[in-house]
Amino acid sequence: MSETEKKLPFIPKEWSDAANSVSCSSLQPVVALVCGPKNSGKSTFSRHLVQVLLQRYKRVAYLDTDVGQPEFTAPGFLSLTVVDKSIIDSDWTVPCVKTPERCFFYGDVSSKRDPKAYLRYIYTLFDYYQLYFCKSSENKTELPLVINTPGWVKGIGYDLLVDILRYVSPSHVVKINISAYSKNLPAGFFWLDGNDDETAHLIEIQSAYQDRFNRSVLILKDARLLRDMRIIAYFRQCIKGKEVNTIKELTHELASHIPYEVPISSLTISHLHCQFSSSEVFYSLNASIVGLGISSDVFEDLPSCVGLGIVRGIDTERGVLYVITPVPENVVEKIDLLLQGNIQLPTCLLDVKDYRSPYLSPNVLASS
Amino acid sequence: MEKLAGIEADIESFFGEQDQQKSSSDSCKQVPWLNWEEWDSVRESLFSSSPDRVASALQRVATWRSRGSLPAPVDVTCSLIEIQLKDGFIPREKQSADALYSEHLLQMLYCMGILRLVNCVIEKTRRRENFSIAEAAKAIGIPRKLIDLRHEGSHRELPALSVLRDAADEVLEWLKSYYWEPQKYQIPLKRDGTASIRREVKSKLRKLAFSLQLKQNPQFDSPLVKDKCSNKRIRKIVSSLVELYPSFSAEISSVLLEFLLKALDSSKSTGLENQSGQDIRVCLDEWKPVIVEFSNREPELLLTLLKAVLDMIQNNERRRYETEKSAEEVSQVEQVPFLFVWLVSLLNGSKHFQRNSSVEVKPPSMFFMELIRKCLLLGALGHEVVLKSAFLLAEIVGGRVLKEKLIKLPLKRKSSASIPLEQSSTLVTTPTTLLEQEKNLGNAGKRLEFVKLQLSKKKGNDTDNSGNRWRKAKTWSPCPIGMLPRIIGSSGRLPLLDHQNNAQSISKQAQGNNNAKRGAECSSQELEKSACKRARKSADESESNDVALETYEEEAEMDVEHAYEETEAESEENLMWKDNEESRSCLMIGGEWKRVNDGELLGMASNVRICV
Repeated sequence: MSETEKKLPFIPKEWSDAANSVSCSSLQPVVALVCGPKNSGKSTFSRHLVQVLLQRYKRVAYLDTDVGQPEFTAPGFLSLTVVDKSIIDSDWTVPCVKTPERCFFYGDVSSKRDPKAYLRYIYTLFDYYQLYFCKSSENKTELPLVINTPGWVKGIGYDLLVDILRYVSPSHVVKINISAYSKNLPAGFFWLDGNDDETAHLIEIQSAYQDRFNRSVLILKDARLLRDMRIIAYFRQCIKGKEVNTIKELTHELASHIPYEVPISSLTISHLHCQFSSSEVFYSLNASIVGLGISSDVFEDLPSCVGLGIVRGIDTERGVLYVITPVPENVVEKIDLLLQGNIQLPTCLLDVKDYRSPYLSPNVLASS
Repeated sequence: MEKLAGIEADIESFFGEQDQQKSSSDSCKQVPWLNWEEWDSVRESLFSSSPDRVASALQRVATWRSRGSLPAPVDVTCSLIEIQLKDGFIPREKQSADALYSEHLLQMLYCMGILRLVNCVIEKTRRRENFSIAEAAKAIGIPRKLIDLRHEGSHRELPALSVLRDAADEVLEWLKSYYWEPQKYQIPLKRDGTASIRREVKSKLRKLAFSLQLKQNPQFDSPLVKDKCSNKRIRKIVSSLVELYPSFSAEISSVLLEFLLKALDSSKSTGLENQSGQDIRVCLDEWKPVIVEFSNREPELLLTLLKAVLDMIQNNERRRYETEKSAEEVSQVEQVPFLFVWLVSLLNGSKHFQRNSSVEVKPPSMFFMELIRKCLLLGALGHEVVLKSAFLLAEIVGGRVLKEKLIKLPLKRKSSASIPLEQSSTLVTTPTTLLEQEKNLGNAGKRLEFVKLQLSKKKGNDTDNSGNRWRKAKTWSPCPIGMLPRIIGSSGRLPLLDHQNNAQSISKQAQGNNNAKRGAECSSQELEKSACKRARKSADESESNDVALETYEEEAEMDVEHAYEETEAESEENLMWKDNEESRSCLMIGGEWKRVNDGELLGMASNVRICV
């Protein structure tokens, strides 16, 4: 894709009005939550909102609660990121990776795996925002916060959204509706149960594209493909100083890239969602994606996470792990926690021409 | 903030291609097991009658489940087997402690198992909405009864427990025929043990040798012969050997070594007088084309062979003073160095190790330095030919500069070091000679430490090892994700993923200790012990002590030359020692490092005292 063709997303007038009203609001601090069904345009609207807010404020905080398609990190993370004006020039359709202020490795791409942990991480991130970016003083100004949510609006997803809304009590809630009425969130202040006295502004907007019959045209995305793409984009940062322009080159480079060597005894390895006996640890750890955490950097009893790594080999004779990660060296030294989750390695990373991984086999029975 | 300009479009098109490719023949799928041996062992354990094996197999499948992409039939099989284990009503010798005796619960569990079978296994295979579940089930051969049970269990009253139990047995049988057996037959190579591998490798190597020989001497013109030595056939045999190499490298190299040693023996029978080994070379050259062909595809083969031969020479050296050796062994011992020389000449000629080769792979210098070190050691003990090959190796690795450095090393020649047995009357002067040697060793050790200190000061404050857990791997060659790198070549070796306790790592550490050569003090300690052991076996104290002492003195001097490498190696060894809580001392007994208890040590020490 050439630099000159930047695909600008289509922002209908309704959306820009909504964004402007959020931005010009007198309520302080500005905490805006964007919700709506799948593929309705939440991420696009959030980005637009961030850009509008950056016209008024110097920096904007972004709390990403969509663990399957986060905006600034690899999938599997819940993060609080602070962005400034430099993001306006970037190409929004290209996945960009930014270092968050605080992030936690959730270990899966959907909140259904562990709803309680999911909520806990989000509450903690919001507390972090309130502590560090919310109080205004002489040298610190308040930052507005934009919260993006996943598109799961029924069942457990709905309950989680309501819990988040109750905890955060945002100043603005932007609800995107699509024309298929039954798929939308309930009308009105659906998260209040009548006893609360909320002063939130509720802005309801329609999804961007509509056809002749005023039916919403949703831009369908292959979620799995997007996730794999994000993971690959994340690990591409490992390769510095070389031109990598195709997938084949990238996977070849990753297979030859010199990994970090770390003794197993200096790390704590734990799986976020399953229990194993100690003899099985290496079988689940080999060739898998792990979150890298620093156990000394704790906020509200949760260790912070600095990035993802691929455990590309385990040498039990020497007692070392070989890990590929793009996290910078000065941060890597502090890592002593490996968190295993359920994020699968994208298949294309295993399928390298001369270096095909043993976990990719051509002899699998076709029907299974 | 990083951007990904350009690659995004490529990724999307790549994924688009991949979807189309799914129907192609080379469709690879991600699996949670490391190799098919793992899968096969789990399969055998699951259907075995020993409850321990079943339990360990179930554990392994739980691990697979967490990795994702577990095939549905495996999942359902394990669920049902687990439920059967929990069923307290099934008669068995020993019920597990957490067996269930509630009929209702067991009914629910069995129903769930059958439900998952129908939904997960069938759903994937049926094209949606065209067929009902019953039809799809018939298409893959599931008994109709199971469909009915599923329906009944989820909509009506739970079926009877005995019915469910029988159904579960039937399901397991059906799964065996639907998934486990067909998959087993689709695994590429079946292994039934090392013996058959060796046979296979032997026959392949013989065929290869025969074909190559025919090719080189085209005497016969018949089409049968031409077929036997055609390039295509040769390539096929070599490819199959190369395929076997990653998993069975030890077997392949040992079989090759056997053949080579046999060739050596055959040369001996032709009456060898010539010191330069002309006849040996002729006999060994039979195998030259085989090794050249093989190592062109798999460069690591030559390196493994070299290492194995060197180890053999070293072992022979250590056992030099054992009295019970047959005549064949003695003559073999004399000839093995010539084998080494021949191999090095092959290495020299191999395209992978040329200095200006176009092949990307560069020779792994640390491995070669290790080899050179061993060669120099042996050269000091008198193997001139080995010494000369060391120079050749040095040239491959470091060019003329390194070769000249090595030539300048002050190595004593064999003539001055050896004291013939007949002149052992110099027993009287032994104590002073020993003391002198010890002093020399001590001095050499001090010099070594001094040089190391200088070098580390020169390096600055880089050697702060306290916080450095994460370091870039020092030696790395590209290999597939999930495997460990080989010394050279791209195939990678499979990791051992069993969680080891400290015990097994001790013997490896001992070898590492030997390699690192932590200065003369340490080696003098071992020297005394090993020298004393040898003294017990042979009557001649002075000669053995002298020779052994000189060996270690040479070591110390060479240490000074290679000090900078050792600082790094030593810090690595330091790390390894720290990890191990119960470090036990190791002694060299019979040419091998063995773990020794304190009690045994005391026993040996007291024996030595009695002897001396």
